[in-house]
Amino acid sequence: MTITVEDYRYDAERCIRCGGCKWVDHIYMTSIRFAYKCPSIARYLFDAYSAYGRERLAIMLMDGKLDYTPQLLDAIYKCQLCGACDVGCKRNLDLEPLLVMETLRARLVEKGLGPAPEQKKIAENISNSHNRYGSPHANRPKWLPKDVKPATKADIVYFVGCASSYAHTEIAQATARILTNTNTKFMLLDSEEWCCGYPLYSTGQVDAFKKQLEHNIEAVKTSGASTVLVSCAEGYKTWKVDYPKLLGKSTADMDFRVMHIVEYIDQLIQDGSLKFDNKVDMKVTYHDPCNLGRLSEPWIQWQGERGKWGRLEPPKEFRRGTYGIYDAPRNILQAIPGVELVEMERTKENAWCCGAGGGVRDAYKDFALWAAGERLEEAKATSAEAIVSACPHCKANFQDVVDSRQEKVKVYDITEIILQALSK
Amino acid sequence: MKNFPKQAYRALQSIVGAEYVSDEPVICETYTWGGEFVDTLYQRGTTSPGCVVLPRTTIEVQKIIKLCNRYGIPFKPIGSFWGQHCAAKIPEFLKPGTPSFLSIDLKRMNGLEFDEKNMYAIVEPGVIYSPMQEQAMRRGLYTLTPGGGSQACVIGNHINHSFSPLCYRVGIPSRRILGGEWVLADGEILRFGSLASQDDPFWGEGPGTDLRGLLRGTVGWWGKAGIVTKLAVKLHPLFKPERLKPIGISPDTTLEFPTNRIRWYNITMPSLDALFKAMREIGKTEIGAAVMRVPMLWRYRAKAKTREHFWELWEADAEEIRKNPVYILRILLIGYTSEKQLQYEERVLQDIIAELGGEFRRTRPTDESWIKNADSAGMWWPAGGYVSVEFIHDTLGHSIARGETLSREKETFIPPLVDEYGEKGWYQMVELGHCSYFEFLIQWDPYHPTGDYVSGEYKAYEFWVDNQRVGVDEHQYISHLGPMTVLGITGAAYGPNYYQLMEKVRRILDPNEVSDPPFDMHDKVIDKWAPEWKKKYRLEEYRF
Repeated sequence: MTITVEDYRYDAERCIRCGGCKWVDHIYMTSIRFAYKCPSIARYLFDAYSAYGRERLAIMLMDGKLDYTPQLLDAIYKCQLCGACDVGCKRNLDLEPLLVMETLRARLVEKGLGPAPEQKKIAENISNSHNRYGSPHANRPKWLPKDVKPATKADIVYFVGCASSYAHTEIAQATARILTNTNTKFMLLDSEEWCCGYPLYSTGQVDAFKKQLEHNIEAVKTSGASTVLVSCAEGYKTWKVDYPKLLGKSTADMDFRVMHIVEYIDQLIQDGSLKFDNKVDMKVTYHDPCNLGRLSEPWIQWQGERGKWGRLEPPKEFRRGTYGIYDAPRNILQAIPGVELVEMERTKENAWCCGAGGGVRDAYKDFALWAAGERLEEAKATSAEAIVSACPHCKANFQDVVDSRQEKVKVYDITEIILQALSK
Repeated sequence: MKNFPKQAYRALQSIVGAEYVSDEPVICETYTWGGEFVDTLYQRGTTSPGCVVLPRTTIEVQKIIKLCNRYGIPFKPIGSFWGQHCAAKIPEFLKPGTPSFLSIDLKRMNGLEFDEKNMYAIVEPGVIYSPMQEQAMRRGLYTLTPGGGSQACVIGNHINHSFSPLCYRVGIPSRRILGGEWVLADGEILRFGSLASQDDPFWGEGPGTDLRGLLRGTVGWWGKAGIVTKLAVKLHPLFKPERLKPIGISPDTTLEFPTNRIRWYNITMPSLDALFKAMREIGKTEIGAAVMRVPMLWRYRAKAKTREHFWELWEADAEEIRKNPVYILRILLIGYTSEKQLQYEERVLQDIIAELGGEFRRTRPTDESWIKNADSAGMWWPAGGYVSVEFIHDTLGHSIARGETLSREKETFIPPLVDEYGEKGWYQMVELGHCSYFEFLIQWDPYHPTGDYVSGEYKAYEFWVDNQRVGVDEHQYISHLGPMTVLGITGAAYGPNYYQLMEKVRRILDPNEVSDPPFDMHDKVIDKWAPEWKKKYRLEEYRF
């Protein structure tokens, strides 16, 4: 299935430039300091670095009225594809700004301009060694603690992802121990696990992404598992949304279910089969990862035509960020004795991105860290001792800023907190 | 290739820093669009600026404007870029050899201060309504959220429009403008109101002539005479500072009302006459925070989950709406001083409604609009194209007459305009019933009926232009002296031609014609893009 920027021409043309793509929902907006939810426009200020600006650029490119230049690459790629613009736009309109931007990146790759050199290097790593870091593929399972014994066959397959396999092994280890502690039978894909492909799709490298998708889906199929469980928000969205999207299917029509560890744990809490024994005395604030929150609604495949009044036939169900995974992580934190959860100004569908996504941390690290720094300032304003998220990329980005600034605030992945509350 | 003087570009870099200036086509291109009026008549042939600059201070703005005067560079100030009419002017109407224009993006000027005791806020031009309203409410104060929505800039909106149902209590915009700081079109800084003689901008008039009239937007030149860099705007007492609780997840987010102090009422009236009578009676009793009548289309808009859902509901009820229109009066009561005030006002309202045969309907105890949010962007949602062809404040009688006229005239423009089944318009009372506000909104599919991108748009604006003429025929005053009116032709019919007066004043203030030019282009634009309209609507016969 190939989708192109031309498929979203109407969406780009009917942008009315209300700024819904950059402002926090007005109902929830409280201060000028944290009024933006789009890191790109907040950092670079010129309108080319906003969804409405990029939609304008898309139209000009489609019409052949703008040259493919390095400045264009800069404007299109200095964006985390965090989707804040998308849910903001869809509060009032039935348009698809995020898909305009995704397909615009694919167009730049087609034309040989994109992605950025650092992102190309990652693609090379993935192609050569099936992980974004270029580490030996044989090292992928090394994160597994000796005392954790995954099953050889199970309904649940834990798809670890590159970040937790190689860089943030504490998250993979915590997840595996949580599963063990909760008597959950799970298996691993071991060497059959390849990078999910997020760094490829998010930078417009669609053909390379398809190879990852095909391999991973085949691996899960071969494993016999019915549920793909992840601890990485990027992996979650890739499996749940982008795989079906590129296959021209709805998430509901895939042969497996995708679940984030927070959904699984919340389910155990809700049905009464899990109670936390250990007290974790900590005041925390929760950072919603974009790919677990507003971008995680199931993909709903739509094909049809636009008619009079712009009506779609058949009617299309829009993904507006309403049903993102917002409550599960909060339920978990609130169920842990001793944890005090305080909220930042921008939460849930209005959350500010950690800065790492969309290939930004790879190609524009200063921008990624700036965005993380902004979020840390927001977190500190709550007087929380720790910022907790549910994605290794969020953790990495926050931790880098904390380290460089010698901040006192602690950074955790939620699996680490859960494990503390579970461990004897 | 843009014609932007290199020396001026370097000078801009030295004024604001190189990081905040760009002449890159990719940057400039995104400043071409004109917000709600994309692809209207005025947008045809538009171009992108030659340069974009982002100043931070008044002094920087002053230096930029002086530079523009020195080089003859036209400039376009931008607040939030929402509702920017003609963001890029049509170059062929400028004098030959005029450099490409400069977009002055004011988003870095986002200072906001409050004087709680004297109940005002001092804002810079990049500040939008949402944070100001939230911070005001936390201080027991409030302002309105205008029809333009919470994303509108406070300064631009105050001098341009700033109407909302809450004008019933907080008054028309010009009365809410206090002291200010204004960089004139020639670069001189003017401080008006009490700011002229002291640092406190608490008062808007004087010294001498009240200069606020020169800022006028709606009835004026849409702010084309320099840049207001600081403005004190009046706030009003709400009730004790307690945050109105935000609830819900997008797209269904709202504020939960403390219903002991603040309540919406939806009332079905037996006729439009009874509805108007109720509006007048409520004004006489001086109860309420908002008194309004919303077109039926908005009720369907509020009920629908998608555009397709809207059309399904709207078309299913077409016959019923035309045959048996429902007249719904919408009232907001606020117990500003106490719960007892709300209880008292509710009893008064009940008496008025009972006398006029109205019936209270169920309503949600939340802010569906106007306190913190106005879903102005949603006006494009049903069909993709929207404009308010008329917004006036005058007597309610005049509003009623104008609504009748516009409703009748609109019939001949359907399609491509969306059929609202005889809808007369949006009415609200202003300043406790001493005058009214009227707005007539039209919607269309920009691609309808042939798939031609601008056909629907073109017809919509033809309706707009035609109705200036019809207004003259029917002795109806039209206050909307905006870019798409033909008051350059018909304006004198209304008596003293303030259009020409304003233009003369502007030429004094802007001797080099650099501030958001050109203004006087009604004739030129119609001649260039729609000459057939002049003949079709006999516009020349209306020229005095």
